[in-house]
Amino acid sequence: MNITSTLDNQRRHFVASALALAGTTLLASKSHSQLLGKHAATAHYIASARSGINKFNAVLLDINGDTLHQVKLPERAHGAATHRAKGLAVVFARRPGYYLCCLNFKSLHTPLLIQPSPARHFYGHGVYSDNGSYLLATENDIDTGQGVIGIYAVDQGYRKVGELDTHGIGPHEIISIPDQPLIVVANGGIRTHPDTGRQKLNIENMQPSLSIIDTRDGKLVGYHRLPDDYHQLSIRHLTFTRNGNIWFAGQYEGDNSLPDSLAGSVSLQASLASFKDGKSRSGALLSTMPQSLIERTKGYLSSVAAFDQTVAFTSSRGGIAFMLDDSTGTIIDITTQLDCSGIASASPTSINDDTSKPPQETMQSVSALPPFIITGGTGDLQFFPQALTATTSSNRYQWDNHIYRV
Amino acid sequence: MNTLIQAAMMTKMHKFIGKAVTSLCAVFLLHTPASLAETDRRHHTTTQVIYNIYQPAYDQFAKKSQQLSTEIETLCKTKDATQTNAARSAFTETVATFSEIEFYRVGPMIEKNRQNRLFYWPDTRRVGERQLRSLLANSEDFNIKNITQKSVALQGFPALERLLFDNASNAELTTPTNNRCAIAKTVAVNIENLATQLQTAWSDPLGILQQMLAPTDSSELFRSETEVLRSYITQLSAGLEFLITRKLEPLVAEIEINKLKANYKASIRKAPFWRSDNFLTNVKGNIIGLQALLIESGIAAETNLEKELKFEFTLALLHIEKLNSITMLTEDGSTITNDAQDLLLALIIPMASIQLTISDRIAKTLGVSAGFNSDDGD
Repeated sequence: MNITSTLDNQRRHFVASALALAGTTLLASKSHSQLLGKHAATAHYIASARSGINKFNAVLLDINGDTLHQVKLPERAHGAATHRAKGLAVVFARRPGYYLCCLNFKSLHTPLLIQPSPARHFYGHGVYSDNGSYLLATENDIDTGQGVIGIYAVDQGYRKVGELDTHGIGPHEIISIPDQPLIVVANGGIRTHPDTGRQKLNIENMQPSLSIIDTRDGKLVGYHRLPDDYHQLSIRHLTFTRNGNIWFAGQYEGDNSLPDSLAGSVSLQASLASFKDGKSRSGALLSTMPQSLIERTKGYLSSVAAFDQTVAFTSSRGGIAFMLDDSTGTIIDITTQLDCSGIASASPTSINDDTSKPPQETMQSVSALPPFIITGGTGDLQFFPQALTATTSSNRYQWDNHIYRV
Repeated sequence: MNTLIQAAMMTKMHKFIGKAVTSLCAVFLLHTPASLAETDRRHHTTTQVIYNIYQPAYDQFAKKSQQLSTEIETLCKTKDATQTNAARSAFTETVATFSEIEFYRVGPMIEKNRQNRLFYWPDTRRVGERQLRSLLANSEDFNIKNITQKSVALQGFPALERLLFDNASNAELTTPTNNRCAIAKTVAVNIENLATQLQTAWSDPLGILQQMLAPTDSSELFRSETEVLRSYITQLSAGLEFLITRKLEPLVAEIEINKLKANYKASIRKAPFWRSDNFLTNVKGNIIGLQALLIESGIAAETNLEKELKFEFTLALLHIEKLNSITMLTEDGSTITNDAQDLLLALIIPMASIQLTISDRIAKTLGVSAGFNSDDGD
């Protein structure tokens, strides 16, 4: 065993100990709902954040981006999944991740920490099934390097009850298609192994892909790979628009000049209709992006979110966010923010939320809000395009990679 | 889809040993404290920042804002055109002092939304313009007691600038029956109040001073000297970012990001304080404030970059002087001349270089960073 693997094993043991310690603390603690009461009803976003050296939190924010409540996390987190009707949220440990922190943002009952099963680690993202009964998380089969989707039964204390194949390596974000038994997985194409931490092991021959999977049987029903020239553009993050387009945001891993595009879209309908022999024959489009914008982003898109007819991307390396039209791909607006990364629809309703309606007062108060909220690692938060509330700043939190609408 | 997920899970069930651990998710991690020498060095930096930079700057801002409200009060009493000029001069001097603290976004400045209340900019939806128009038509419900309940766009410099400098100001400020001067006085007193609150907060030994000089684990603001230091780096980085991307780049058509926008016009109206001709006053103050926090604090010297950074600040201020000396900043009162755009571009270069030095060299040497997503995303 080499030094790296020893350290990493120590780290895993530490996480396990930490989880046990946290469990002890819990038994003696007061119900959070007793402490927070009214705040629970007004949670509008969830994001992970750093609040000091080795101090990480899941943070609930209100409609203005003000902090309502924080939950301490054992290690740095990455993405989150939410189910508004049931008040559920899960924060995923960052790759290679060893915990899920499962919350109820309505009751604020004591959170659960869930560990991955043996020979698995989390990749930082997941999604709830439409009715909130299951959580699906992207995971690494450590022995083979193949991507898997862990299936967790929510009502059984997030017990793992099965797995699906992602049909690719290095799965990252996963989204569900509303009202359809379909999920979409961004297979980043990058192989990693816990023994080598976050080191990327196959950059030379990586092959990112996008899989559309029928959750009823785990079968692949749509599949796209990028053209050979783009094989080092890792497909990382996803969103779905009302027009039926899946948009992806990529991160360039190569050493050569930057590619001509970092993002693209897949028409769900065309992808499904053209799927044959393991591949979709049409439906995918690489977005036409100005070279100057690609250079500004340094080939790195951090997150993507959709609102109605618009799709917005952040680039932490470029300190820039831009919004484009879902149908035409035309860039509509651009803003800048140092180290910006998280982006979410600020809408009172989300595309995954047809079954629940927010309280009336929330609907009224957000009517003037612009479509997106952006967070950055400096602690800054802004609405995009800029709203009545200008950029706000937090001394306490450095916002991590993602923010989500709850 | 749930029924069929169950079918899938039956065929793909893997052995699952780990069990759900009921938990508060509260974990106390050990961390290595900074060495004593390093702690002393950090403490010394903070002493410099508080007593030699923040406090004098806030004192000046409070003093000038008091003079401003006095001058406007006199104007309202005399309705004398020459007093309009005195009030406008006091406005410029107050903008200069505010500009120096504009990027010191820490503690009292961001509490109670003071930053936005003082300077709500950019006001892309023209909230201030619309509400001010309505207020000028009927100002019965606007006074110093209730101004804090009004839009932030009415509470600070942008509103006062319109009142003192827009096209109707010459006539309306000196018309006895017009309410413009009274509204201006209310806004000026509000600015003075905010400035006094900031000055007081930065003088209170048990408030922000204690939190910065003696950070503790239980503090809401700073739990270690490193967090205090990180705050300086964030103020510098975010300030430079805002200055470059929000105030300077929109004024230069040749900037790549502007070329992406159809028919882009480099208009002075995209700049802050253009109406009062105080855009350069504002930018100069910003640069002086950033220079103080980076150089006079000792941060640059600690990383052996003082000489290099001083040169770049000098260069930037030289470009400001050149911009001040050219006859026409704009043609047609709006479009910025090519000469001015060239100088603005020349100004951006050292500012961007300073920004890069902070993120790539200073922050790394000191072991802190303004943000962490760009360094370590996923």
